[in-house]
Amino acid sequence: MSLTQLKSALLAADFKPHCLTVGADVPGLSRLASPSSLHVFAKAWRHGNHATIEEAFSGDPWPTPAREAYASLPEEQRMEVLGLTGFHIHESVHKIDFLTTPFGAAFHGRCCLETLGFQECAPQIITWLEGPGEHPPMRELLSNTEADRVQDGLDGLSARIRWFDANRGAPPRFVEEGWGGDRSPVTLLNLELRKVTVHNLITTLELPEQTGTYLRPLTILESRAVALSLLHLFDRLGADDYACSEIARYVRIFYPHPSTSNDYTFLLDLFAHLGDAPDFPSLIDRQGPAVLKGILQNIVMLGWYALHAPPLMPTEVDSYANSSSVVRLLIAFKSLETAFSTQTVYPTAADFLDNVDDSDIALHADLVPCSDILAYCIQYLETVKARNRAQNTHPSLALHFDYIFEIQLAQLRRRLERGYASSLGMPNGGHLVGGFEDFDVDQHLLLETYEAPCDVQQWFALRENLLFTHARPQNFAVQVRSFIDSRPRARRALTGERRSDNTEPVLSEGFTAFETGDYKTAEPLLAQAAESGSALGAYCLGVVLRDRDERLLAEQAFARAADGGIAEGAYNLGVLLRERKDLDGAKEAFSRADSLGDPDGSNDLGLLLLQQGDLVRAVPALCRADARGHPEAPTTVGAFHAAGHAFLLARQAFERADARGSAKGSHNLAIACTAAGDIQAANVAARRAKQRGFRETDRHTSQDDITALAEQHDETPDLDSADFELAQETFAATVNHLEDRFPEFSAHDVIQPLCMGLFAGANVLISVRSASFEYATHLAEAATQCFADSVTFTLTPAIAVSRRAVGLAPREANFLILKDITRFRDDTLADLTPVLGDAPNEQRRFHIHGRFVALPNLTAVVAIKDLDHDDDAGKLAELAPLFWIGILVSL
Amino acid sequence: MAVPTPEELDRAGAEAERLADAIGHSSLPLDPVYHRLDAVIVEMAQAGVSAADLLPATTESGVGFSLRQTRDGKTLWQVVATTSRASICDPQGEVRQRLAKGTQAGASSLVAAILTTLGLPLVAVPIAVTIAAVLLGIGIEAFCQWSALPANEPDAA
Repeated sequence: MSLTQLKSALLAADFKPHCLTVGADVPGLSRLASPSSLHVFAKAWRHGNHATIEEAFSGDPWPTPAREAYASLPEEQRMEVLGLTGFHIHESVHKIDFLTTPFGAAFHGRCCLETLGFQECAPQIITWLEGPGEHPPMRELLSNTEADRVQDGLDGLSARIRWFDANRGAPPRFVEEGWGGDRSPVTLLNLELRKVTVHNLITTLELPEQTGTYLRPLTILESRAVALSLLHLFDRLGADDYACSEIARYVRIFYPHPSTSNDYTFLLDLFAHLGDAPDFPSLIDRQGPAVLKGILQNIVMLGWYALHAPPLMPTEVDSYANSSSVVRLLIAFKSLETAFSTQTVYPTAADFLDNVDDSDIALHADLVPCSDILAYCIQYLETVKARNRAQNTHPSLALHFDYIFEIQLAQLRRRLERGYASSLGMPNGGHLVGGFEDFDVDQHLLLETYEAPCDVQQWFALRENLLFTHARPQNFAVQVRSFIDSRPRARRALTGERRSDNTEPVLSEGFTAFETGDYKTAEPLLAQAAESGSALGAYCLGVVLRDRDERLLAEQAFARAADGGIAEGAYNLGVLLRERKDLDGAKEAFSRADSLGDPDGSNDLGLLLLQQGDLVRAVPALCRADARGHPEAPTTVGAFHAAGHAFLLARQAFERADARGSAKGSHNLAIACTAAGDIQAANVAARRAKQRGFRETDRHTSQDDITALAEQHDETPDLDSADFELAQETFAATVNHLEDRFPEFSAHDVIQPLCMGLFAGANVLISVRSASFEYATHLAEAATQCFADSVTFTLTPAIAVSRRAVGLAPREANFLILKDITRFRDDTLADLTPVLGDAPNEQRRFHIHGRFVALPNLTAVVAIKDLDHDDDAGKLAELAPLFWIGILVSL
Repeated sequence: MAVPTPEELDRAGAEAERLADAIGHSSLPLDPVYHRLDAVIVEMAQAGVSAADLLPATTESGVGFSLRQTRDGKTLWQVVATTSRASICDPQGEVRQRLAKGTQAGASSLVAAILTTLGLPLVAVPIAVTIAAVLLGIGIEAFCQWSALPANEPDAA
C-alpha cells in the first residue's frame, strides 16, 4: 500500500453532518497504511493495535519509543502515521462542532423544519416532479421572498433551502458583489477582500485565488478541524522544532495548493500573509513552533466564536448579523486585530471572546451575549423537537432528528453557565475529549457511536439531488414521495389519477360499484374498462376475481394492471404466485412492484430472497421497504443489524417498527431495551406489543417477565447495582478474570450488554476474527456463568459433524453456546431453527433423525461466528433474524 | 424528463465512438477524456452550469478531511466515475444489458442508456458521451475495477 492510496481513501471519507456518519470504514483505513507505519501506533498504545479513547485523543506527546520509531521512518510512512491520526481528530472535531454549538442547533433545527416543510408541501412538490419536462434542482426555483422569518409553507421551505445552499457553496449566479450596494472592500489582517452577498441572504467575502468561492460556514468548520488536528499532531510529536517541520510537511502533502479547496487553507494562509510568507508551511518553517501554536489556537478560538451563530432570534433589534457565523467571524477578527495592535493579553480564550461580545463593533452589530444565545438555542431546539415529534410523518427521520436534538440539548444545557468556556470546543492541552464529563452523554460525540439508519442516509442523498443537482435517476419521484408523502398508498392507487380518458365513464361507474362492494354490478364494467386498456380497471377486476377465488383470472388481471404501472397489481400478482408455489414468478412480480416504489413489494421480495439464501439482494430490498415506510420491514432489518453486530442500529430499527404499529417490532424493541438495561422503555414497548396482539409465548421476554424483573430489581436490573449482589459478585470476578487473561480487550464494555441480553432471553451472535476467537469463547462462557445455577452446554463444529452428538445436550441446559457456527453442517444448522425461534420453551428442541431432544429450560443461545470463515453460501441466512443481539469483538 | 432527439443521439454516439477510438490509440488512455471534459467544463460554465451539479449525488455532501476542487477535466472525470459507478456497474442495469448486446446496440444507444440510468438532463449529454467512450474504449469490466480503486484520485495519477 502507499501514501497515495491512503490519501485517496481519506479524501473520500468525509463526515456527513446530516447523518452524523463518516463515509468510510474508519478502522479499515489503517489497512491502507504500511506495517512499519502501524508499528508506531503499536509502540504508542498500551494494547498494541487498539487505542483506548484516552490514548486516541490525549494531547500528550507519544511515548519516546513511538516517536523514535516515527522518526526512523521514511517520509511517506511518517505522513501515513500523521494522516491516519489527523483524520480521526479532524472528523471528530466536525462531529463535536455540529452537536455542541449554536450553529449546530441552527443547522439541524433548520434541517428538521425543512423536512416538515417538504411534508407540508408534498402535494405541490410531487405534482411538479411527476409533471412533464426536466426538473431542475429546487434551489433554481426559489423565490426572492424576504422569507428570513417565515416559518411554514413554500416560502419557509424556500428560505431554508437558500440557507443550506449558501452554506454548501452556491453557484456564482447566486453570488452578488457588495453588501446591499456597499462595495467597499474589507481588510482582514492586512488583506483586502471583496464583499459579496449570497442568495440575497448571506453577506460574506470573496476568497482569493479560487474563482466563485466565498467565506462560508464550511470554511470555519474546516479551518477549525484542520487547526485542531494540526495542534494535536504537533503536541503528539513533542511540540518542538522537529514537530514543527513535520507539520509543515504534512500540510504541504495533505492540503496542497491549488487542488485543495480554499476552505481548508484560507485562514492559515491569511495569518501567513500577515507574516509576509506565501503560505502557512513556509511561515512556520521560518518562524517555528511558537508561531505555529499561536496561529492555530487563534483559528480555533475565532472559529468557536463564529459557531455561536444561533438561529434567527426573535429580538426587537435585527439579529441578522448575530445569526451569521461569517459576520461573527469577521467581528472576532477585528477584535483580534485590536488586541494585536494594543498588545492586550487575555488570561483565557473565553475571556477574549467575552471581550468580543462587549466590543463596540459587536454592540453596533447587535450581537447578543453568549448566555442569551445558548438559552435561546435550548428553547429553539425544544420547540423544534416537539414539532418533529408531533408532525414528522416519516418515522426514521423523526427518530433521527429526535436523537440529534437530545444530544444537542444535553450539551447546550451544560454549557449554559459556562458561556464560551468549553474544553470540547477549545481543548486544554490538545486533549479533544478531555472535556468529557459524563460518558453517557458525551459518548455520542464520538464518531463510532452512531450511524444513521439506511433510509435516513437514503433521504439525505435524495435531498441532495432534489435541491442541488440536475440528475433525476429512475423512480426519483417515487422515492421522494415515499419520504415526504404520508397519504395511504392504497388509496392513491384507487383514485382517478391514472384513469384513461376513453374509459372514464365506464370505469367511473364500475369503480363506484366496486368501492361500495357491489361486485356484481362492478365486474362487467371493470372488465370492459380493462379491455379498453385501463390499468385501474384491470386492478379492481383482479380484486373482484381474487375475492371470488378465480385465481388464474385474477392473476391475469393483476398482470395487466402491473403492465399499466399499478404497483399494487404487481404486488397482488406476486402474492397469488407465491401461494401457488411459483416462487420465480412471485419474485419477478414483487421485483416489479418494488421497482414501482411499492413497500409491500420490496418487503416480500426481500423475504423471498432471504428464504432463497440470497442475502446480497435481500437486505437492500428490505432496506428499501423500510425506507418506504413498511411496518414490518424494520423488524427484519433490525434483526440483521443485531445479527451483524450493530445493536444500536437494531434498536433504532425496532423503534421504527414499533412507531409504525408493528406488534413484533414492539416486542423486539422490548428485548433490545431490556438488553440495554432500559427497563422502563422495555415495559412500555412490551405493553404496546401486547395491546397490538403479539402472541406471547413462554419466552423470557414477555411483558410479565420484564415487569417482574423491573419490580424485583427496582426498575433497573443493572448488574452494577446493589440489588443484584450475587450476580454482581460473579460479574466482577468474571470481568477481572477476563481482563487479566486478555488484557488487550475491555471485557467490562462487552459483558454487561451480553449478560443483560441473556437475562432477557435474547439470542446473541458474537462475531469475531480468528485471532480473538478464544477470547470470544471465554466471554460467552463467562457471561452465562454470571447467572446462579445456570447450566451451559457448548456445541462445537467437531461435535456437530455427527448430528447424534447434539443429543448430548443436557435436558436442564439454560444456555447453549454454538462455537464457530458457520462451520456447522447445513442439516445441523437447520436443526437449530426450533431452538433459536419463537416457539414456547417446551417446544424448543433439536429434531434429529425423527427424535426430539427437548431443552425445556433453555433461556438463550450464544453463537460465535468466526469472521475469517467465509459464509459465502449464506448458510446463516435463515437463522440470522433469530438472533436479537449482535456483538462484534473487533481486535 | 426531456429526451434527446434521434439526431442528437446519433451525433452523441458518433462523438463517443471517435473518443473511444482516441482512447484506444492513446498511451495514457484517459487523456482524451480529460481533454474533452476540460472543454465541457468551459462550455458549461459559459452556460452558467456547473458540470458537477449535473451528476447524481449518491450521498449527502460532506465536510471532510481534505476536499478537492473539481477544477479540470481530470478531477471532473474522477467525480463522474465515482458517482456513476454504482448504476453503471449494476449487473442488472440497463447499461450492462446494452453492452451485452455487443456492437449491434451502437454508441448512441449506449449514450441513451447512460442518460436514463443516471437520470442526466439533456445539457449533460457531453458527460454521457465521455462515459460511453470509456466503456467502449476500455470495457465495462475495466471501468468498474478501476473506479473501485481508492487510488483513482487524479492527484495520484
